[in-house]
Amino acid sequence: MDAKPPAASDREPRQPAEPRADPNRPDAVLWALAVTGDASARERLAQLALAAARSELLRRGVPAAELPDLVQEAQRTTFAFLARNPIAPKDLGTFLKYRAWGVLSDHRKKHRASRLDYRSELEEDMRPTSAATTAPRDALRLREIAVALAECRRGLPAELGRVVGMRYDSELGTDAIQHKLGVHRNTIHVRVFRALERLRACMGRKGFGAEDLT
Amino acid sequence: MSATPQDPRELSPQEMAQALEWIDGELSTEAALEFELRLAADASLAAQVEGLALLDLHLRREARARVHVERTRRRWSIGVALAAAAVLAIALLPKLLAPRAPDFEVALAPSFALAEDWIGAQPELRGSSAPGIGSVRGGNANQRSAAEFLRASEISELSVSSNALETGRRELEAGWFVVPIDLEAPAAVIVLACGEQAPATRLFPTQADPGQAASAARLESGRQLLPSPRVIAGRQPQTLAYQPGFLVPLNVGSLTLLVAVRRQVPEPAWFQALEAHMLAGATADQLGERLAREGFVVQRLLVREPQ
Repeated sequence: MDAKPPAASDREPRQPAEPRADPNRPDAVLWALAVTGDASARERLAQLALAAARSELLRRGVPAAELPDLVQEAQRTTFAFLARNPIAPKDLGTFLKYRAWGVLSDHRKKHRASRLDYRSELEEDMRPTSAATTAPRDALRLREIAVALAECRRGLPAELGRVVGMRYDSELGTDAIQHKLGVHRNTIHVRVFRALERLRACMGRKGFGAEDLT
Repeated sequence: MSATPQDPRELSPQEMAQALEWIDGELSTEAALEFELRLAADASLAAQVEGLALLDLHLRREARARVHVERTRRRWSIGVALAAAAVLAIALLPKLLAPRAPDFEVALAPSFALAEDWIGAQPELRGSSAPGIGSVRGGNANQRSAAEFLRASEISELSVSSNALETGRRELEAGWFVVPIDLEAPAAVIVLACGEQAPATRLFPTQADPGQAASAARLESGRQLLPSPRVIAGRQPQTLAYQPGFLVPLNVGSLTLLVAVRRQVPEPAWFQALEAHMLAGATADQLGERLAREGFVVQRLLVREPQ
């Protein structure tokens, strides 16, 4: 895959101040050099962005056919961000990882909206939860998780349980939930967030961690 | 990484809302990047958001799986005997009536991420460029018309394909590759890639949509290059576009390719079932057996990631 950084002519105007980097932080030095247009630093940053995006997207189950476009988008937006931000992220590797997550969230949102991607539909339908398509031991584990999650959902306060039902069971978007409940969209987001927090804590008490849900 | 999980702190309502919008892909690119910058700097925030993102995805998948199971149950409750008879007929008749799968030869050839590397590697193309195709390194490119360049590229492809097929190249170390195939008769062609860690994926047909994949699986007889020739007509008239071929994912180690050919083109539902089988973790051996049972002739190739 092409790890070359965008051409200099594609770069957006930079802030005039010369970026200063802590010499003890190699990431910051690399970022600062890349901001100044140093070709080898930009090449290295492109390689880092590519490697981080590929490994993270593969880990999240992105099909190989969709990988190049998503990796390219992660690289492109990283360089667009570089052009506007002379200060390096505190942890470059973690930032690049979350950039891949961000690109994937955007991608999944588009698929949810269009309902045209059978591969994603299948992936979401079948992969982690369908006992029929997994090994018996995994299927048993998935059933245990499903039972535990159902119990945890029953323990949610009514207003949180309702918003969870609308979001996941009825697959309503924030706008549709807002229309039904007549509350501010931030309130909906906070309720979903609190519900997920409670579910996660409840699952933790039942012995299921985040790694069980991947 | 310097960001390590810490004791979770109570997030503000604004942070919760923003985190949800990020998980849902509802933030603008600029806002998403700003939020990711904060995630990279705040391990406590990152740990909370990451955990919730995974739970969110799990809940979505589980809800879809429930719908799927309900639909399946409903279908089966309407005349189980009739459905079973239909399934038996559908399963057995094609096997009884299916014609012999056509003979074919298949091989591997390296490809290139960039058009200039492909151009540089081909004597017919070296030093030249065309509208839509990246200029050659070092400048002073011999600018050709799209039609001229396309003809020269086709000659190069023919040479690459012939060489790979005649030498029977079935193993390759490369970051990108193409698959030359020579079909005795028109047939459906499927290429699957099985890595050492990740689930198997379908490389060809390249279309994710099962309906489109079913249409694209049928190839004419003769020599073809998968997924496509390196140089194809561009979107604008009189321009060309470069296609790099198949990618070998980073850290995959090696990819076992299953190239499967049969005369009858599979239905879209067949592609859906195959995808489900791959996502469930089917191995190359299991997939090969499945394809053989379904009337395909299967050949194996091996691509190793460059060290």
